[in-house]
Amino acid sequence: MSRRVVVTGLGLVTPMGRGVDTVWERLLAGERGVSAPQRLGKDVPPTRAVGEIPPALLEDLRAEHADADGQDDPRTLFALGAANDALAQAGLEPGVHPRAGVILGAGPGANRIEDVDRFLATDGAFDAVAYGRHLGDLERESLVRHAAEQPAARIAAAHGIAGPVHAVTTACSASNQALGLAYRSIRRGETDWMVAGGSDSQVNPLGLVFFVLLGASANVDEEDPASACRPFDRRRSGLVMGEGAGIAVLEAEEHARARQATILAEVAGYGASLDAFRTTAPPPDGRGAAEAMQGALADGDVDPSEIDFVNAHGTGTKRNDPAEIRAIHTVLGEHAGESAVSSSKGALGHLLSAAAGVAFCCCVRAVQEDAVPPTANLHTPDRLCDLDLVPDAGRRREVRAALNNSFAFGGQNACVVVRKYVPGGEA
Amino acid sequence: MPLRVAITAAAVRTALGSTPDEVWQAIQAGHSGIRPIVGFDASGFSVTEAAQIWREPDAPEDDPALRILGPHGRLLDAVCLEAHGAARLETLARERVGLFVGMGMVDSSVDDLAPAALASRDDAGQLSLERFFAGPYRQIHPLWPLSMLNNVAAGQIAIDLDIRGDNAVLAADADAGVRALLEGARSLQEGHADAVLAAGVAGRVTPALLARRALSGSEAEAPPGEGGAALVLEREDDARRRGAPILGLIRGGATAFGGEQAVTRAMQAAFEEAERPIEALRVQVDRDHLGDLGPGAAAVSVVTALAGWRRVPPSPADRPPRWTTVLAAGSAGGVGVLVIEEAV
Repeated sequence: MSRRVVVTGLGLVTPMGRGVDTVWERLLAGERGVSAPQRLGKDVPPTRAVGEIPPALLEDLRAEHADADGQDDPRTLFALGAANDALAQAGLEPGVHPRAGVILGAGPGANRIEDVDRFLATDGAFDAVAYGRHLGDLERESLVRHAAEQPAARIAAAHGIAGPVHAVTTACSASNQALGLAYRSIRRGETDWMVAGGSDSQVNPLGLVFFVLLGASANVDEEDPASACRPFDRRRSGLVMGEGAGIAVLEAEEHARARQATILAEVAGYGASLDAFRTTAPPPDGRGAAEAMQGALADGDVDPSEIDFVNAHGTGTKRNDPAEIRAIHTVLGEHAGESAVSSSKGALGHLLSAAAGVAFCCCVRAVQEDAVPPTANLHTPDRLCDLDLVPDAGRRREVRAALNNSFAFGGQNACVVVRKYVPGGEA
Repeated sequence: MPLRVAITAAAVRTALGSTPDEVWQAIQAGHSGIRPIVGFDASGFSVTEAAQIWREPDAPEDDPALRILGPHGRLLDAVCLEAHGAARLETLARERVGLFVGMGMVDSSVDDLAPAALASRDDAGQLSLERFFAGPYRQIHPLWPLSMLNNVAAGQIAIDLDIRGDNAVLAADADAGVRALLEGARSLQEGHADAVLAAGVAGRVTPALLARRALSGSEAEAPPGEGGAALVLEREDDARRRGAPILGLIRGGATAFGGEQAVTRAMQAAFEEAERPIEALRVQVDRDHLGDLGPGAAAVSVVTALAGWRRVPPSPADRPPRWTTVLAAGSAGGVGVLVIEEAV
């Protein structure tokens, strides 16, 4: 069995707000959601720019999902909010759904230095006995309280979803892998619809030094933190941490049509590869990225000339951006110059395990509306980044198909192709 | 299309041994790897026993690659390298060799964070984030962030073996281990790869792991175990064509969510795919001997079943049934079922 797979619902929780319409319009307008960190109050982390969910939105989500136990971590709250919106748009009500599943990319969770400090003697010895006896004292958002599969399991429990429910933990490529595995599940007939995408939050004391320790954090102008991440720009200096969720409902075409759902776009291919190069850097020629992109195109029998928009991984690091551009040249060939290429990480920060889920939602809107979002903070393109990188503001142009790129620390690459839905075509 | 995926090599590490035969024999002899926890004082927890492999504290690692992997990442790396070497896949294009892993969660080592925490205390001895951010955070090793990503071990395996194909890492419950094996099998069935390393590994037994189990309500299950296994999977026809030894066949599988009904649904789907009546059920149960191996349990159970088939029984009546079911249930409500068949 090989079935066509379509998109019938989208949900976004991002530093630019909640809801696909809101986020998409703000992205197209060239707005930016990165700011100085707010959640930690007076304590100022070494990174002065973060793509943080606005505190009011976080509180709204906490109130919306207070029915469970009031103990959800932000990552789970973002996932629940985005999934609820996606399922509502798809018109799928809570019930008993044995032929539906949830696969989400999820980050490792919030390591809390407070949990270590609380049980540390002045000589540095850790009191494991006291730790075991006082588990209730551990931080509410601590990772030991919130396993990677928690967001997916909470969504499944809330909506009666009873098929495969899993978490993918391949960091920055996790939500594209989740979308890809969901796509395959539906295509082979295992499920009729899947909630897929990703959710992540590392806005906590250790999370906010994550990229700083790795030497990958962007330099920040404290007068303008929103300008910190500059994908493809000659003056790019690194990443900005972000948080949020991007989740979609993928569905078998026949199932969506039978219930007269509105079909937003078609998922046309998925490819994954491994760099087998270095843990912290891609090969300069972008070969791993190119193999994942080629795999996605071949999977859906999509010709490179159909790709009018590449939603780039575009992290704003010295090594990733030119390697990705080389990979796009390799895969799209002569058509590379005709395709619009942009990254939303300048505007939103790097949403880690949620990044590709958010980008996927943008790809769907791009093919729906024939529009491409811009690359924020791109003023002087690097000479090695020699494609149409959509600086300044979004643009109206035909988008027959879009390629969603994601590449992880560790060397996992995953790409998904989204194209306009045309009834009656072959899978 | 019927699922017929051959297992052509396997490697395992558990508290009861480091080869499939060792583990099988120990289980048959009724041995158990479950003992009082060592490495830290577990008396503050309600669970004080585990099937541990690592019975000594970690030695400091200078090699960056080893440092970011942690013990269970290194174990995963070791079993994957061993299985890959045994399968002799050198003739395959490296872009066509995939890697699917069910991975236990990584926990930060107290030793990694303690110096920074101590240096961040204020005059009253309280942790001050203001102080932490002002400089002591620099006392955390620069590679510590990578050690918290549980995909990094898979990346290192790809580097070590130079494999570049289809892949995924799933976490962190037992059903994720089944799903990883199944996704590997499906990748072959659907032509995304020509060979797949499919593996699972449990997290190391640490205070954080015991805390996670206590807080998720899963400590009522078997005591935790350490270990994992790797399988090399190929399409049956391909394996026969290149003369590879076929240790067993994956014939069906499914994962489902939602308690007892999920067990029934997953079993029905897996047996339907295997074209077998559900009466053929013989569940491979190892956790009384090896502890709860979480996402490593499925791969280890497959390996022990394969080892049982390979041994010459004392009498025909002692021969294990040709069909075996691996059942894995996670604390979050997920269930995984895998149906495997002896290769004839």
